[in-house]
Amino acid sequence: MQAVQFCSSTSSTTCEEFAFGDKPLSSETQIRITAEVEAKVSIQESLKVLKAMTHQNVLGALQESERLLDFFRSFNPEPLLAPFQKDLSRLTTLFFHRSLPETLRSFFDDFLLAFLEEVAEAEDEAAFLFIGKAIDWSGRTAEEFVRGIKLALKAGALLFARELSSEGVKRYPDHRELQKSARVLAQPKVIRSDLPPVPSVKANREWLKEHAKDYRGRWIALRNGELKEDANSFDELVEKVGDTQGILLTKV
Amino acid sequence: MSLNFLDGQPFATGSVGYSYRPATERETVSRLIVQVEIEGVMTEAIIDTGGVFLICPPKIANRMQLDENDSLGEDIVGVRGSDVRGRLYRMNLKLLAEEGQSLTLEVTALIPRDTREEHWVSELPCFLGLHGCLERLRFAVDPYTETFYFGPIS
Repeated sequence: MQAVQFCSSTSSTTCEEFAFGDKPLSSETQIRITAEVEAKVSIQESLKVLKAMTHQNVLGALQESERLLDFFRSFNPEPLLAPFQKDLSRLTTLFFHRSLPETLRSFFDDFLLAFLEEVAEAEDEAAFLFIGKAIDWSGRTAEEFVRGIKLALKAGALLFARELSSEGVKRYPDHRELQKSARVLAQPKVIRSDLPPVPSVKANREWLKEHAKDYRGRWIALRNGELKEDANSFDELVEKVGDTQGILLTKV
Repeated sequence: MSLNFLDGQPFATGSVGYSYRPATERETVSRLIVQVEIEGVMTEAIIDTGGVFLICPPKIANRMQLDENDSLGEDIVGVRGSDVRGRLYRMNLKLLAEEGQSLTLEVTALIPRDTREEHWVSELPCFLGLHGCLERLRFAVDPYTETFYFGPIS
């Protein structure tokens, strides 16, 4: 029977803990496995520590530690596991090696997403962008994209919200909420630039220059440089004016 | 008068005079205020290149034929370090030219929530921010003639 037992201690791991059926693993393979298990345990312990920290001191650590910074930016479990995978063809039933890198990445991104919520709450745009861009969004669900967009808006990271909505709708083109987000947050677009000038604008402006000071704090309705009505509130003004087509409604 | 590049290509295709006055009776600092048409409603708006989106007070937005289903749900949007709760829409904004050509563009518009607690939003005029609104236009200001020039990025 095949059996693989992972060590729980990084320091006391021995080669005897690994076996594969009747055939013992070569000492070279055992050493590689031991090293990778130690690395995995070490990462898990580090992440536990990070999870327990508040976002402020994590950010401090990120800013101060180049190593940690690099780790966040470029975390990629593939190279870490590459030597281990070499021997996994013999262990596929108990060790689903294909999903391990994705699982680690997903675990890491789950952590960052939770972190993103806290940073958005603190309205720290710079930190939000740093964390948001460290996440591998390609593996995230449509709902996580929607959540990310809302958080980005809250954090004031408006460009990132636009990028995320654009990326989200590409990955989930049938998702209604992402369709809306992508449309609403898209870059402004000129529809027509050949429309005629509007003569009443100059007449209204001249009236405002001459008379605005006499109506300070009032809502006014102007048509072609003539005062139609004035009122205390917008609602009252609209009620007095009736049809507002072509009429400038403003407060002075 | 139009603004052109040295090779004769237009920088701006339209221009409009702006009012230079405080936006509300409580303000003392003057703002650049232009006449615009938002979803068919003619009103004034402050040019606010330090701001974001087209911000449209709910009273004025109520005159527009907007479908809430087309908006992003009531979100909190960080605007200049302050939380503004409101809905985001895609809207048509028409820059009205006195000379040259008027221009219509689709922009992102924020309609702040109007509640008893946040009644101040009704006192606000419209704002034309940079991100989501003016960012894809060429524009220039001539304080001497109080003229706002605008044109598309061709």
